[in-house]
Parts: sequence; structure tokens; C-alpha cells
Amino acid sequence: MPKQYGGKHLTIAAMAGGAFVAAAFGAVGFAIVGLGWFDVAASSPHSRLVYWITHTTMVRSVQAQSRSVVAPRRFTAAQAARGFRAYDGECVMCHGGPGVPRAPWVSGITPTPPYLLDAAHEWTPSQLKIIISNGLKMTAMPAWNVRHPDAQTWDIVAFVEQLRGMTPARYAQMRHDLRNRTARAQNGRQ
Amino acid sequence: MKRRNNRLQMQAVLLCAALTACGRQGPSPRADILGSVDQGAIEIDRSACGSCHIIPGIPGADGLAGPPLDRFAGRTMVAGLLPNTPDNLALWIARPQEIVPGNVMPDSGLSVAQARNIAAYLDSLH
Repeated sequence: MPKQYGGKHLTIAAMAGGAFVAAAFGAVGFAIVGLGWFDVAASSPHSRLVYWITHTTMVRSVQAQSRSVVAPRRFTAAQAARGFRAYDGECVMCHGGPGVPRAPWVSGITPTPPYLLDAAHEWTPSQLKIIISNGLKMTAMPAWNVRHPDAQTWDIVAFVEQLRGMTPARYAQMRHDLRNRTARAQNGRQ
Repeated sequence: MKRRNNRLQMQAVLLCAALTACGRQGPSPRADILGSVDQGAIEIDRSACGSCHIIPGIPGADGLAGPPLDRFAGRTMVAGLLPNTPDNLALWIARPQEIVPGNVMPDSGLSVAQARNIAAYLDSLH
């Protein structure tokens, strides 16, 4: 009989404790969402905790999404060349290139877009494809599938794969060649 | 099992934070003359230095395109070319293309003050 009595007390204590924890979480949640405790200003960096939570969430989500994405077994030089045209037109301002800085205002974005000279080491082709096509919420990365169908996105992945170990001279040469080709095409049309 | 993993990860994060806190022995006198160590950490984050360099104390700074910058205060040379003095370091950070034209690190448009803050941070890594 006393044993049962003690059990009841424990149950009541556990329920009270649970209610208290729930109330505390609720109060903190309300303060963050309702009272403006979380600083959304991009002018200050994420705290270490928020960085860890958001970054880990992003990495795990990309890994999960990319599992069903089958990458081409190999990329061709033609694919990478087409990818360069897109990269130099649309990606380089935020992500820079070998010896090429990002646009000056990009350092004002939080989290700030990374240089991608190392991206092929950090991400698989399928993961790069998912990031480019679907974009990343709560970063400045748009979902490029609004502009590029899948085949073009794989071209960009092909180029990003080549970025690893690309020299500034090679990047400059590719820019030069692209400009010449564009100029010739325009002259041809006139 | 999954929860245990998460707890382990959390402990690892806390341990890393504690270790980095111990690893940085505060700004050296040299660093103080250069600029603000704390502001330097912010400039490093904003400039995305960590996408190419491993930099202790900067979240996510694990890039492998350039050399790791740990224990920078003790390094003898900057870019393998200049003696690692505060002024040389700040100069290299602000204008790497003027010092080694055609190298992979871009002139990212940092002001002298910003470059000196970054140099101060690197100079605090013992």
C-alpha cells in the first residue's frame, strides 16, 4: 500500500516537471518569435549555436534530398564549357572564381556565399545538383531550376567539378575565349 | 541510437568550442597594434576566407584550396615570399594579386583597416 502511494507521488511530480519544462519551452519560443529576441540583422554574424543548428540542418537536408539523384557517370569537356558560360554569367558575382573576387556587396550576405574552389571536395555531384536546382532556404541561394532545366544544371555541376585545382590563368583564358566566341557570333548575325 | 549520436555531436561541439577557447591565448601585444581581433573574426567570416582556408575559431572555416592558417602567429613567411610581419601580413590580405600576380587568392576589395583586423586575428593564433 505505501509503495503505491509513493508511485502516485512520483507520477504527480513527473507530470508537474513535464508541465514546467513545456511551459519554459513555450515561454522561450514566444520570446524568440513574438518579442523579437532573435536578431535577424544580416549585419551581424550568426551565433555559434545558430550557425551549428542551421548549417547542420542544411547539410543533412541536402544529403537526404540528393540520395535519389543519379549523377552522370562522367562529365564531358563540352558540358563543362557550357557550364562555364552559366557560371561566369550568373554564379561568379556571389561565389567568385580562381583569382576572381566576389562582388563587393556579397560580404553583406549572412550566411555569406562561399568560394567554390573546394566545393567538389565537400559535395558530391548529386548534392551540388540539388543545391543549385533547389536552392537553400534562409540563405541567398536561389532555386536555379526557375531558369535552368536539369541538363543545364548538370553542365554547371560539370564546371564546378573542374574548379578544383583550376588556375586563375585558365579561368581568364576561358573568359577570353567566351568573349571572342560571343563577339564572333554577334558579327555573324549582323 | 540516433539520440545518442546527437548528444555525442553536441558534446563534440562543446568540446571543440572549449578547445578553441584554450588554443587562443588572447591577443598578443603585436595584434593589438594591428587592429581588433574580434572585428577581424567578423571580417574573416564576411569575406568567406574559410571556404579556402582552415582557420581555428571561425565556424565552418575548413577549406582546402589554400593553406591552413592555424598557429599563424608563429609562421615565418607570408605567401612563401614575405617575412611574417604585421604590415606584410595586412598587405598580403588586402592586395594578394599585387604581391603574387596570377595567384589564386583574389583582391577582395578589403580596406586597410579591415585587412589589419584580419591580420590581428591571425596574429592571435598561437
